[in-house]
Amino acid sequence: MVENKRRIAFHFILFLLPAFFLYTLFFIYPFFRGFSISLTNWDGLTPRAPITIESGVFETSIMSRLERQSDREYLLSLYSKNEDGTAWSRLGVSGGQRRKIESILSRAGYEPESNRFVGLRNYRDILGGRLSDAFYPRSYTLRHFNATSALPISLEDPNFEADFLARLTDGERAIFDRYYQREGKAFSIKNENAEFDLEDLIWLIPEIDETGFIPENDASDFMDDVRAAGVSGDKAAFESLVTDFLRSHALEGESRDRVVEGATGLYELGDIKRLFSTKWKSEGFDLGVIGFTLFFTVFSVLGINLLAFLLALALDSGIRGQKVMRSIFFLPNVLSMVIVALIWKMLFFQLFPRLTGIDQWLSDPAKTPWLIVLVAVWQGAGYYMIVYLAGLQNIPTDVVEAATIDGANPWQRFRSITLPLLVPAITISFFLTLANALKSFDLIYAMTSGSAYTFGTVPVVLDIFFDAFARKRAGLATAKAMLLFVIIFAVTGIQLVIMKRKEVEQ
Amino acid sequence: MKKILIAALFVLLCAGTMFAAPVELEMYYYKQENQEGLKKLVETYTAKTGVKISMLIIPNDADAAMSARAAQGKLPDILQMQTYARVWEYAKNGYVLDISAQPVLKKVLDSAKPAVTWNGKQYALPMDYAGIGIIYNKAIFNQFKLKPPTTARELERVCAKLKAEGVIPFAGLLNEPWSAGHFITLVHTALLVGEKKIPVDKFVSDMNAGKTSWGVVDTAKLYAALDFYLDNMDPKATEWGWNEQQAAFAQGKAAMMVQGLWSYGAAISTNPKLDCGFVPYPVFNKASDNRMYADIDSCFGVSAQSPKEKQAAALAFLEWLATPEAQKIWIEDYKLVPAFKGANLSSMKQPFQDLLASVDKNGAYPWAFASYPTTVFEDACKNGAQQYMFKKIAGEKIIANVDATWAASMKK
Repeated sequence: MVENKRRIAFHFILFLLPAFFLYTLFFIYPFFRGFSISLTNWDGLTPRAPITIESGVFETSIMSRLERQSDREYLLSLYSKNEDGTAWSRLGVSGGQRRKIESILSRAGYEPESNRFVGLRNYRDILGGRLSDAFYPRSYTLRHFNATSALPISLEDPNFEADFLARLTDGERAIFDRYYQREGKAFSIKNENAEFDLEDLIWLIPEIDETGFIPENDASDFMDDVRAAGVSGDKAAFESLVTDFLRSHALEGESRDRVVEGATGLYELGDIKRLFSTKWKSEGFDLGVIGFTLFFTVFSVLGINLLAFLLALALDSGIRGQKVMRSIFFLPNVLSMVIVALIWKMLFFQLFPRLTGIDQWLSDPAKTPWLIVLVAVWQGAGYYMIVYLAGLQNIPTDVVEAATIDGANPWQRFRSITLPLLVPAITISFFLTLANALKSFDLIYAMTSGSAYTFGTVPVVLDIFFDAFARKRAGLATAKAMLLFVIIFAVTGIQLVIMKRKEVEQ
Repeated sequence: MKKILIAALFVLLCAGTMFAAPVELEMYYYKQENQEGLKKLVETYTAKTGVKISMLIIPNDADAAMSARAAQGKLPDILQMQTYARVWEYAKNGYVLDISAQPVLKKVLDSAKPAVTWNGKQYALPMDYAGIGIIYNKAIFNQFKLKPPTTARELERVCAKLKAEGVIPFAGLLNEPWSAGHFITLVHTALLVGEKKIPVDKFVSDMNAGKTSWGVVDTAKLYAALDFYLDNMDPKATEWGWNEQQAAFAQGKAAMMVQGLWSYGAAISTNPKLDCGFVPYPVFNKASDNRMYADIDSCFGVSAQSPKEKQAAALAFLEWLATPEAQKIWIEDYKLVPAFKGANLSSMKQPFQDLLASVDKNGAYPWAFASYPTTVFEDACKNGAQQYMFKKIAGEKIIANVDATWAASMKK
């Protein structure tokens, strides 16, 4: 008994104690440090022990509030006044010195403005729904035409009929037909309505074009105002604009006629512009950060596991060359996420449009989330195929043979023997894919980087990254990271508990 | 005993070589273009003085890495930074050295100093004067007998003619948000300074105090400019990133691109036969109101966290940058316009001469966006402009987002 206890103590000291120590140092301590950062409004840049402090602040808010002389001397040993006396600054200090400065400053009650304690404000903002609306799922309207835009000369969008024509009343359709005519599969504007030519009627009169009698700014302001009057349908304003312009620039004869013709034409374009800007819309749905994280997690977990499972079944069936095929299907997993992203970006840009005739792949917000799931499944399935293969190979053949002799068909064998005995492999695969999907960052960052918000494909970790560094809100980002940790812990914990219950003892 | 002596001797030798070794510096830079030019500059310096400089590039999200290193106290010794707000941020937190008293600053143009000044002192060496405007392909323009546009109407005319001839007017870059961000601030600043006559620093301080809105300009003109730009790009421009834009322009598929002149170097290296010119993007119809959008783009700062000897070596490098030898490499190989007095720019290619001539004749609009709080430009302007081009949000939403982000960055 004594021998055993000594062995246990020996193993504890030699292996477990260092492990606990390292765990505390590299996980527990950073975790609590992160938690304390999440209770501040840190902008990621301002140190707690500032490098420069304004003289006024240093002398009145800090030095005079310190009670201990030793504190004051310590600060004075590290901070020195600048040449012009406006600030005190310090050189680089070691970690221990920095911590001592921080504790002295907190005793004086001083906190830098961008690194001060705010309590649970970050958590309240996150859980209370007070984050930017890019965080939450929302539908948005795609406006295909803005009233400030020039009228398109041809309308070739394949969705034009569904997005616009189908929504028009008869009267509105009549308005459209006044301006546009069908040309093959597309529509093109009737020549008399070409906006550029109508504008040229005004631009090319000698008073503007040759003599410069009318300043160009006046002409363009006049045309902008006429267009605005057209869009709002204000005939009285239009007429007074024209008379004012003609009178103040004393236009007569041909110039006057041209200006009237051009202005009237521009005014009348207002009807179709109004129609376009109010009726030519389509609906889009932006998953938001939370929505995309859930979407990506659900579909990539299901996709990876399904594909890996099928591959494992197929490559365990004893077909020729299955060892080579296992290596081939495992290869994508060997590549780094950045290389995978580069390869697929090139494929989406060059190969897919050529194969399918559809031009927009990664930049089409309706497709991008699915494409990212596709790439993640492609990259991840190989690894879990190995896990499932190992599970399949652990199924005792004698049980399977006995079942075959008893007359069970392949489906019955699969359902009653293979599947239950594979549950441990399924458990571990789901656990790993779930945790990895919730944490995924590098693939999506490499594929979409800064445009992720536009495409609506921002996982939580990418949002944390942008919060900390682009938006300079490291405190909020750390709070989000803490909550993410809790969620991953909870979700994987639940998943493990559920699936452990289904495991069958051999 | 012998072994211990030998070991001690070895350690002493190593320590000796450590002390005798020349200083090694680390330089961080973010400009992806013409990296060979910068490397040649550094190699020349090393050959001359023996000081090795290891170079580190982080192109698009440098802020993240640099913030992390600053927090650890391990910033690279020499930092290439954007001007104005970035310098202010780092100066306020004490990450870069005050170099106002350094002799090299006497050789810098006075007009370049505000870009690196915080609280009356200079914290970095302004290094390149850059412009954002229209780079156009002269061969295509000559082919269709077009003249470079000086007013908005002339630009509309040029684009209509190009479209009629089957050439894409603008090579666009919509797959990344930064180019759209540059464009929207270009038009906004022109409208703000050129039309509303509000100086940039007054605008910024009013915005900081919450007294005005980003929509104080003629927003109809702002949206119309964005719509016009989008209408005259390739319909697939949403798929185009930097590489695709450069390729389309260099191959002559697109006649123009609204870009910084830094991209001229990239286009020329793709197609050395390109003959280009550079004009301001015309927002107005009065030619004299259309000024180049130009300002000091980047600067070199020295980290205040480095040991004294490395700081001295870094400052010596900055001092060397003002010498004619270094300026020659800066101009000819790195292909950037230096901010030093009396720089000999005659060897620069035509587009650079166009930039300088335009600024000389008409003046320039300053880069207002560089003075915005960094999150406003990086987040609200860039993403807002890109989402508008993707038709995802309305113009009013861009303004509202900018105002909200600005207010949030003021309130800590």
